Amino acid sequence: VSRRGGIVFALSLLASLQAGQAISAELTVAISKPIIRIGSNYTGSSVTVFGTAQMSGSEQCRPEIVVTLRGPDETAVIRSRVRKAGIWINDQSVRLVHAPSLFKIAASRRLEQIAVADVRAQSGVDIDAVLSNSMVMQSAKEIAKAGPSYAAWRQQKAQEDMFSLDEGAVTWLGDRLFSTMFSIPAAARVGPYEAVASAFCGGLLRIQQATLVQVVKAGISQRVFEAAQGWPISYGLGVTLMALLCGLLASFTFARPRMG
Amino acid sequence: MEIYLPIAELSVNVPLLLAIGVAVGVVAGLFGVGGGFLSTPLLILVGIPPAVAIATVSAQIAASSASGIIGHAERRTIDWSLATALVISGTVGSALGVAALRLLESRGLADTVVTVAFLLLLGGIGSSMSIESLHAKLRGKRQAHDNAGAAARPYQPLPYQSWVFSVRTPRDVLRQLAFAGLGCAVGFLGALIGIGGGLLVVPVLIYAMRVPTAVAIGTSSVMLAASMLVSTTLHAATGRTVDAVLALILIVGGVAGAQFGSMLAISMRPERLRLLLGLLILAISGRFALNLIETPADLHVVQIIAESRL
Repeated sequence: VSRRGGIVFALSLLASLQAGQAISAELTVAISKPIIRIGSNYTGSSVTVFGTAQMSGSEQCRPEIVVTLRGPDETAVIRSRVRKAGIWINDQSVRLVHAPSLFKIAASRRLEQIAVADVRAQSGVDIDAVLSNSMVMQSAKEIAKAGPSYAAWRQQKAQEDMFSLDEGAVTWLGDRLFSTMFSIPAAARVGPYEAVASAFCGGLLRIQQATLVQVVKAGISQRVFEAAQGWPISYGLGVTLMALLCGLLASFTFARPRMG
Repeated sequence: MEIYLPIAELSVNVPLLLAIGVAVGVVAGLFGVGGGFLSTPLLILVGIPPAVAIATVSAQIAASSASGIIGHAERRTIDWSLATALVISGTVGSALGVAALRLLESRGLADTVVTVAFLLLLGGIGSSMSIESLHAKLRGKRQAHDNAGAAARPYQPLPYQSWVFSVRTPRDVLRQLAFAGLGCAVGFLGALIGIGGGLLVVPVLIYAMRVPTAVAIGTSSVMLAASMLVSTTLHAATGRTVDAVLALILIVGGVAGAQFGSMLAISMRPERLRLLLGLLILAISGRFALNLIETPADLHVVQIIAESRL
């Protein structure tokens, strides 16, 4: 986080405190289904985040809402591919520690119109700021070399519907009630997903509220996953036994009738 | 019809996976190879993570090889003592291969090493098989009655048994070391690059060990089934990358395809079978060569080191 960003955030907090005397903010947030179950026929899902927001006080202000959905963290290495001696090999890498596997933003209007970049970064509603906090680099040379592959990875995550920004997707269903919907793609990881609603007013963050949705495996998927993680040797032996039996069974099924 | 794979953590089309299984099974049954050289790249192509593809294909190879064993045993085309020697050394090789894969993965070198290994292995074997079988075919046309060529000798199991387990002369020791080295290399490559090693073991048995084609294929089935069973267990234990659901779909398609393949194999002349296999291997190695020199669609590769699940 840059020093300039820190100063801007401190000033915005100060302004919030001063404005807090004039504006009192209320925000509630809820989620349509707290648990998404991944069964054997899972091809993706969606979740609706809704809530109420109200600003009251001497200063007239209609809140702007930004909702983020953050998936389980992962530590990833992004390696650029370069051509050396005529063949393509892996080269410089960017390491992301505790980066979100999924990060989606929905806003009631364009983010630039809601708050300036530094306020957005400090409020956790800027994907670039979230990812740069996770990035581990050693030198400026590495950053320069790995930059293009990092950008390509960002683009790929967007194509896979893991990262998204939908400005205008938060809709008002009255004076106070807002709602937005996030898709959970088929390749989404299992684990806790945190939905955070942020209410801005006058370019400043006034209040944030969070709620959780759990993506869990269910049925046979869950049992297979738990067995593979919990009892890996028994699981491996079980799969090999299944393979052997299937092979021998097929041999009998196909070969014996011909022999007779 | 989509199904969610619990270890690969994505949804895939079931008929597509079954078709891959059947196609690989036909090739496996026809040539007595595991078919991993086909199924691993195909699975990666449909989006299965490479680590899961390599590990799960081991189970499929084990099943397709096992399905051919009874048929080969009935036709007496298995040299059991040779198979036992190869299985023991192959198990050691599998363990070393799994360890090497984990090391390469941690350094981001796995895909390059796997591709280069595939290319060198397949290119070398495919070229030599194609050239030899073409020679055999031409020689056969000129001298149809002459079956004195080494590869066409009728199988005599007893000499092999004495080569493998008895030590009478220094030459026997060298032969045993050669068998051990072959089994170890096959197990190592199988675990490292997700192929059964039938591509390696069948030609070596035919050309270096002078084992007739049918016996080489039968014996390699036993060796492949055993070494891939070990490899599957090791992958599950060390990487948690074996997807049982994916394995089952591939196995169902594979064992059915393998039966058709083995029926076709019986009706074909050995040199034609070897020529076909050689050309298939060359075509696949050509694809790998292109992969290395072609500008990739993505100029980056992502490796997930750790996930937080709570």
